[in-house]
Amino acid sequence: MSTQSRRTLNPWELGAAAIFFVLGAFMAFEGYGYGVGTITRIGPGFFPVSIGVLLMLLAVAVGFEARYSLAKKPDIPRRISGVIVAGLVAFAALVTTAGLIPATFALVFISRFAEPGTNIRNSLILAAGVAFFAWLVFILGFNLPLKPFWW
Amino acid sequence: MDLFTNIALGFERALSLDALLFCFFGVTIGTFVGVLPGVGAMAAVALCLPITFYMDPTVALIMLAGIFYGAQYGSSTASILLNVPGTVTSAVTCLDGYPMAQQGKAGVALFMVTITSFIGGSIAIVLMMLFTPAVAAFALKFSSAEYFMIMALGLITAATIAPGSPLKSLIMVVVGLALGTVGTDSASGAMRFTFGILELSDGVSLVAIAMGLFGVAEIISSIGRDSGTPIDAKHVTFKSMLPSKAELKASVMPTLRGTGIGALIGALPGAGATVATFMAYAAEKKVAKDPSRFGKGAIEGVVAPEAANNSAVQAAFMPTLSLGIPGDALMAFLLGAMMIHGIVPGPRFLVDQPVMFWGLVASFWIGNVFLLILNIPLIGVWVRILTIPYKVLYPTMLFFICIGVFAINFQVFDVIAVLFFGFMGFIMIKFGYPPAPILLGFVLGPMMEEHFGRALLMSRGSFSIFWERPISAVLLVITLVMLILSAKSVIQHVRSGTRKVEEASLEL
Repeated sequence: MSTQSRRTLNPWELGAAAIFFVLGAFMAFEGYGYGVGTITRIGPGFFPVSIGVLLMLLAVAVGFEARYSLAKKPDIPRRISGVIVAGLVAFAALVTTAGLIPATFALVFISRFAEPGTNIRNSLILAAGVAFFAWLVFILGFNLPLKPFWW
Repeated sequence: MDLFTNIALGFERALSLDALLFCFFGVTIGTFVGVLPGVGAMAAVALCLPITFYMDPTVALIMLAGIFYGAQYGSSTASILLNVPGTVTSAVTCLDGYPMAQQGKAGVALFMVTITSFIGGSIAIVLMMLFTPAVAAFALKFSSAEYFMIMALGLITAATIAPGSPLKSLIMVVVGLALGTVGTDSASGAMRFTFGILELSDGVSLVAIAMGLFGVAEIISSIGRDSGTPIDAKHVTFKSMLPSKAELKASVMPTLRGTGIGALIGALPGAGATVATFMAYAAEKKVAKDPSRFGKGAIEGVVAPEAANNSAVQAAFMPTLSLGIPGDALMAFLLGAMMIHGIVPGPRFLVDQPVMFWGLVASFWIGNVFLLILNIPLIGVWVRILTIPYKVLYPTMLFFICIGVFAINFQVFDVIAVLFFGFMGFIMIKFGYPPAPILLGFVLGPMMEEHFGRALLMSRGSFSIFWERPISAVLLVITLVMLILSAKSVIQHVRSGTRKVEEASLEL
């Protein structure tokens, strides 16, 4: 049968279901340690254990449902992912240490590289513009307790 | 009359200068983000949330709500001119809106969409004014058992009504519930799943989850995608916007039907505006004399879903405000935002905060009038916004996401969390796991746990409390029916184990 030939197990779908199963098992195990209490007076672990068990059951069901799924391996764009990680980490690292303006500048400048063929001059202008806007609106306008620069 | 005094009270608050000003800001920002594809209302609310901490809570709420319904007006612009929905709730509008624009009737489509949006929104507001107090009065009788059941019903409806696999949606609900348990347990004070990280003791940041799943994930998948060229804005003159008599006549009934469907779906806990638009479109196709016109620029196919999404968004405030049960991810987020402000939506909200509630409802109507003014004479401005290139837009968006997340608690940890949820959302969507139920589960989870514990305490540990109390029993039955209804397709899929590519992934 022609459909028979396509019936191969989908490792990606099964992997996703397995992750949820492990997550559920972890919640149930860790939650049990918090103390499930009694049925009249439930403890802090009762809800996590219930959720964990439910998650494990659903994960098994989804594993069955999607075992022959035709979903393809997710195509994670490396350049875009890398650039976005770099941009956000730069913002996180700089915002409290160097100040809002350098952090914003770095985030915008770096994230522009997600698309190939970026014009550096335009990137500098955009980054400076957004950084200025950030200072104007969030520090001058709304008085958020952030410093614009490190001094 | 009690109702009229309340409405007068509301308008008095909503017509004060600060409320008017921020209502205007809200709807303008809403239209702006609505017009831009790939920028959702949620990102705009997240951005404005830290700013609203310094405002009067009523004004803050008026502004945040304005962003939501403002985005509904703007979102159809991109659908019609670009064939790319501004937000998901306008995805259906593309089907007939874009063909209309290709036939040179973009102006008419934009005009009619604004008018029907206004009508849909206004009718839903009136319904909301009439029914919310009744629903809230009824809900005052609820005990913890009923609250637990109605939340369970809301979550299960949201999971089973959504497109795609109900099992995967349910998993996402449970993941949301799981995320909700992180932090200090409110009943015992125990630290749960914090792994010694101090920043987690207050729980995971709602804004980080929302901005990761809906902001960063969207940006990752949109970069490098061809955004299309909008149909020339010069064609959209005021004169070209005026519809013919036949077009007006053809739109009356679809608008009313769309409004009705929208109001009904919007008012249900667990069902949101997106579902309403699909149903309104399907209904129009069914009643039409010649269904083959649909997809080729039928005006009914444009006005009905747009009336439906506006009426649904307004009606969705009904369960959110009177029961504290959000209909979709957007409402869940707004509910979370209200709780950050220290406002707890629910039946007591109407009794304890009449000025806030009625002021908010009155502002809806004022906001809709603003939107009418903003959208008809100024349509040219919004059309021009579509020409902003994405490579300018997405770095700016990333900045707004970062500052919005960071400014809530001034925690660097939250910026890293947004990154984590961004990649999680991106990968999940590829495998057909919808992100919206996570947010619903996350917001409702802690409340469910509290009510569950209280219900069992009340019944001295007997689960029968959930079916012995009449209202709770009815809710339980509806929940079971929802589950049974979706069981058939689930069992079928579990047996065959196969899903087609287009079913397996939720990518648009």
